[in-house]
Order: sequence, then C-alpha cells, then structure tokens
Amino acid sequence: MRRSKTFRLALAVAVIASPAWAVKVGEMLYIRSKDTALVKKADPKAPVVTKLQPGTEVVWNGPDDKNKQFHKVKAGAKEGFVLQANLTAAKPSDEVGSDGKGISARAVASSGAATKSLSEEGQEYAKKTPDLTTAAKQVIMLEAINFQIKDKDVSDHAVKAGLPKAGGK
Amino acid sequence: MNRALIFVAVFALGLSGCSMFKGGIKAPSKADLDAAAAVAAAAAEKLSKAQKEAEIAVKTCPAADGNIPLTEEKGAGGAIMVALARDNGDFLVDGALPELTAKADKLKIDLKKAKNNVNAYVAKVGKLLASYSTRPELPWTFGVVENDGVNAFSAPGGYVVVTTGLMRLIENEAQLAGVLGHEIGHVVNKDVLKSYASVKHNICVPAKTVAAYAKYGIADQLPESVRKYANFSDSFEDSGANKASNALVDALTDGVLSFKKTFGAGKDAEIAADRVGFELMMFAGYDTKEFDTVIAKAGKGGKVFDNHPSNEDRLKNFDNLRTGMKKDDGTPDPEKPEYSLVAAGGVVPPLPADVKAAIPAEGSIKPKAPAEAPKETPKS
Repeated sequence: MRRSKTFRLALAVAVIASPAWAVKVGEMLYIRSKDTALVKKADPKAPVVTKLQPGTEVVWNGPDDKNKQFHKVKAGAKEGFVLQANLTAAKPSDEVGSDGKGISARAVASSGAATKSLSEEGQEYAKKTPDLTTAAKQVIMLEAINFQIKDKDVSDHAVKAGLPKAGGK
Repeated sequence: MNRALIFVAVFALGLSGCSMFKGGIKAPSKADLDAAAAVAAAAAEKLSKAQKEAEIAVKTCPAADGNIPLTEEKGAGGAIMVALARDNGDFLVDGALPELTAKADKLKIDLKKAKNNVNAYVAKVGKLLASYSTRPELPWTFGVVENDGVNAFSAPGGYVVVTTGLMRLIENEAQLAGVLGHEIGHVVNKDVLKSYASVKHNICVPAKTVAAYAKYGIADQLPESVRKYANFSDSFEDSGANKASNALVDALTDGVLSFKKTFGAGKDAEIAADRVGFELMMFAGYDTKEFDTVIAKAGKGGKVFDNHPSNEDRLKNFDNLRTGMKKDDGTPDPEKPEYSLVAAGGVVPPLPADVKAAIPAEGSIKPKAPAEAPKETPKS
C-alpha cells in the first residue's frame, strides 16, 4: 500500500512537471499571449524583466521546482520565468498583409485592420435594406462598448473572478 | 474545332441550298463556300483565343484555399456580421443608435445601463480568453443578441456573439468561457474565412472566363450559369482584390452565409474549435469541466447540422484532451497532449447578479424602438 502511494505520488509529480507539449528542455517554444511578463522569480509578484509578445521564440528550461505554473525560459539574452499558459509549442500564426506577406501580431495591433469599427464593406452592405442598416448600427454600438473595455478592465475582472491576470501581468 | 465549325457552316449552307433548289435557285458557288469557311475559321479562331485567354486569366484568381489578408478579413467580417445580426435579432444594447458612418472608437456608450453592462461583461470574459489565443491582437468584439434560441456564432475579424437564450442557460462564467472559447476557436482557425476564400474563387473563375469571351464578342456562347458573373470581372482586375467592389461584397457575403447555413463548419472544424475553447479556458484558469456541462445542456435539442459532431463525440473529445489522445493501437500519441493536471482545479466564477437580472425572460423580447443618434465624443 505504502509503495503504491509513493508510486502514485512520484507519478503525479512527474506528470505535473510535464508540460502540455512534446518538447524537451533546451528546445524552442513560443510566447502565446500579448505582453507576457518575464519575471525574475517563479512568483507573480517578482520584478518584471521584460514583456514578451506573441510569437517570440524562447528556450524552454522546464518548470520551476516549487511553483509548477512558472516555467524557466530564455528570451534572447534575457532569462526569467513565465506562466506556463503563456507558452505554446506551435508558433502563433502571422497575419497576412495586403501584399500577401506575413505581418507580426505587433504590427497588426498598430495597423488599420485592428481598428474596432465596422468596415467600409460592412457599411456598404448595410445600405441594401433598412433592416441591414439597423443591424449595422447595432454592430457599431457593440463595437463601441467593446472599445471601452480596456486591458486593465480585463485584468481587473480576472483578478476579481479569482483567475490569473491575462498574460501573467 | 476549326474542322467542326467549317462542317457546320457548310452543312447549314447546304440545308438552305436544298430549299433553294426546290425554288429553283442555284447551288452555292465556290466563292460562297469559301466565304462560309472563312467565317467559320474566324469564329473558331476567336473561340480558341478566348479559351486560351480564359485559361490564363483564371490562374490569377485567388486560390480556393488561399490566405485572406487581414484587411480583407476585417472588411468581409463586417459585412458577414451585419447579415448575421439582421438574421438573429437585435443586440442587447440600450441607447440611441449611431450613424452608419460613426466610428466606434469615438462613441461613448453608457456601460452602467443594464443591457450594455451585459455586453461589457461578456466582452471582458471574451477578451481575457482571446488574449491567450493565437490571434490576440484581432479587434475582438463580443456581444449578446436578443434571441430565445440557444446559440452562439462568430464572424471573421473577431466577432463573437451569444444569444440571450444561451445566457439564460449558462450557470456560471466558466460555462460562458467555454462557449466564447469555442467561437474564438472558429475565428482563429478561420473556419468561415475558408468558405469565404472558396466562394471568392468560385466567383472569380466564371467572371474571368466571361471577361475573356466578351473580349472576342462571344460571351453568348457560354451558359447563363457562367454569364451571370459578368458584372464581377472588374472586381478581380487587381489580382489581390483586397478591396472588393460592392457587388462582390454582396455576392461573397450572401455566398458565405448560404454555405454556413447549409453546411455549418463541419465535424472536424467543430471539434477543433472545441479544442481551442478547452485550451483557452484552461490557460485562463477556468474549470474545463464546466465546458462539458454546458455542451450537455445546450445539446438537448440535438445537432444543428448532420455534419456536426454529436454531443457524445464532443464530450469524448474533452476526455481525450484531459487524458491524452491515443493512437489506433492504444498507445499515447505524443502529438496529442494531455491536460489532465493543468485542466483540473480551475475556478468557476459565478455569473454577476446584475448580468443575470438584465437577461430578458424567455418570450419577452420586443422589437427595439428607434432612438436618436448619440454624438461622437472628441478623441482623447
């Protein structure tokens, strides 16, 4: 019985330490979430070394011994810890620009495409009938509501709900 | 082809000649036959050139499985969302509707109003999940539409909508996260965008063909099913066609909606969207078991499409995600990770009381009254 318990404990520790991807220590993973905090220690209150953006390549050095949610990574010359949820084995897909070439998530954020407003195509389509026009105006109103919800509101909501802050910030 | 046309021309002249003979008219001269042959040869040459030109032109059409640029996705997504909004009821919003040309980022909406607050709440949960997605920088827009049906839908460019019927069904925020995460999955996996690319290709090919035939004055040789795309030929002059004409936007939007209504996203796409939803819930810290609960509850009415997975398959998929998928021989598949420990122990936040209170009771939904437009506020 004791042996069985020990075995189960060892197995649990082994599985907890296993990430949800099939890579080995020293191999490459990618940052999944925007403004992911790279912190000095495996502690959400630790000082932030830098903030990493989606698609950034990091060398994965395994989970922290004590706090398994935090994984040790090296991003360029900078080392630290990020929340496991912010790591992914699949590189976040670049968006496609109008020239057919890939554009980074960061470029998307500053491009016109990220503007939270109904597209010209949507507006033109809405002119076809009165009910489409009304629907389009409601879509714009909904977009306006969403535009008023900022990153801080999302983070505050997460904390209030007992969830980690988005991006481990 | 030339020979066949000459034969037809000569045969036609021959037939008319027969009737001429009856009337005592002379047989066609060699010159007449030569002229007929020349006409037939010219027609054959035109046809040959048109065919070759069409063959080259359609190769410039966007691929049926091609990547759609983000600007075009946002453009198309807006039109698709407008059509979906019309078909699914009024949004749960309170206040004067803005002008059609109003910029959303310049409008000030009172989020303290009960209905607007529901959208704001859904937007916070949705944006939290989307921040963990592979497309965190999309201009995500989340909302609630007044509709007693238990449903959720999405459109390219980051639109995700749930019905009031679904909001009444869910018991907590984790269940809402599962639904929103699934729809985010459709957007990040570009499921509707894939059908958009296919529809666009299927409009471009006949449009380019008609244009090539029209150049040689023989478009009338094509069947009506191809000729009807003649108006779209200019829309594809720019091979990128990032900025579609109004006629093309209409055709694409209607085509995509028809495709969506007829086929849905398909079994594989639904399972893949479930997987994204599951992962986003997990990464955000929600208890993924609540996703199982809401699927089981929402699915009591049965499947929407024949090519949708059954609830049994969807729940089995969640179990596979927790325990690790197996290969056919029963051994673990290293490409299919297991989330048993990271998925467990998530939180189940309650739905805020003010949100629950603002959801209209079933059967109480009334048409929205028109109101004055709000004024745009100066950009800060």
